[in-house]
Amino acid sequence: MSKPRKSITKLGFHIKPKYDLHNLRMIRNKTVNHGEAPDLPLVSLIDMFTILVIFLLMNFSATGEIFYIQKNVKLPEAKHAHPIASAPLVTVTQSGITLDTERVGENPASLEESDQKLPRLAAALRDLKAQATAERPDQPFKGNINIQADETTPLVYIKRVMQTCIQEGWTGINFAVREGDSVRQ
Amino acid sequence: MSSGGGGGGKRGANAELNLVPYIDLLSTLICFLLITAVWEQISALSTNGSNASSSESAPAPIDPNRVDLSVSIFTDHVEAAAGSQKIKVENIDGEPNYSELLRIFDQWKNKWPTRSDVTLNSDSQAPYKYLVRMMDTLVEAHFDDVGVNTQ
Repeated sequence: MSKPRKSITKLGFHIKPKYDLHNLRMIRNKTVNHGEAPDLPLVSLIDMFTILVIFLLMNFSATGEIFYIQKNVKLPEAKHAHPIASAPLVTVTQSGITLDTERVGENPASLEESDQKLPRLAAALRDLKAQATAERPDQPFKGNINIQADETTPLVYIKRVMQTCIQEGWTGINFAVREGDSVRQ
Repeated sequence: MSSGGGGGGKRGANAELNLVPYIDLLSTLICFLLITAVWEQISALSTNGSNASSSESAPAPIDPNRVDLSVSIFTDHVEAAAGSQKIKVENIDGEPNYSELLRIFDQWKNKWPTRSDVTLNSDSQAPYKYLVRMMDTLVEAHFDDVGVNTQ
């Protein structure tokens, strides 16, 4: 039989906690002294993991191409684009032109429309074409090329790159875009 | 004194499921998917795709009654031309009025349902996004064969 608890003898208002020291000690002895580990609620953790896995699996793409976008390039959005295919990539920025990773031209701040020549890009494209033709002599040359540029780039820079590509036989020009729904007013 | 509940002498019916391997599997999966996740989908819009692929075949005979469809992009407006008939569409808030242009392209498609070729001319100072969005609008109106004038 348990001891009767001491009653309050002092006069005045007393706040009595929900769990007194006696009760707390009982709880502590029950768990720690008996060597039982405290239960970790794993069900909520597994729920969260499962939701994360489902979300990431939905975003997973096994057919993507590795595509390098430069830091200062924000691609324009389009709703009705098709998946991009692997092809040489020409990047046009306000400062210059790169073919894959090689710098092949400069973009001056003010460009005259008559100044359309890009000899280094033309030479690099010629080399690539010769390489592609030598690798597959039995197949016709397709001439597919991807162009990426910042959405604010003036078209004069794009047009001279396109002209150089067409002159060198790369007529399958594809513009790299971001897939988006917020393009229409 | 016997414990209540009627399970005297028997083992508990609730077996403990070992969740550790399950958590390991999920953690590995999450790490793999996070590393390989594609956060931005890159696509492409093609110019004159059909012409480029059929460049070696014989050119089609030119129809004298054929109407040339062309769209000219300027910095402040867009001009849609079907032969000699030109429609000027002013920009709204600094951007071409794509919904109005889509309406015009739909009218063209109703008038010439077999046509899918349009020539796109552009001002040199117009931004690149105007060209891409115009091509997107033309593809939406089923004009898939868009040729870009580079002159």
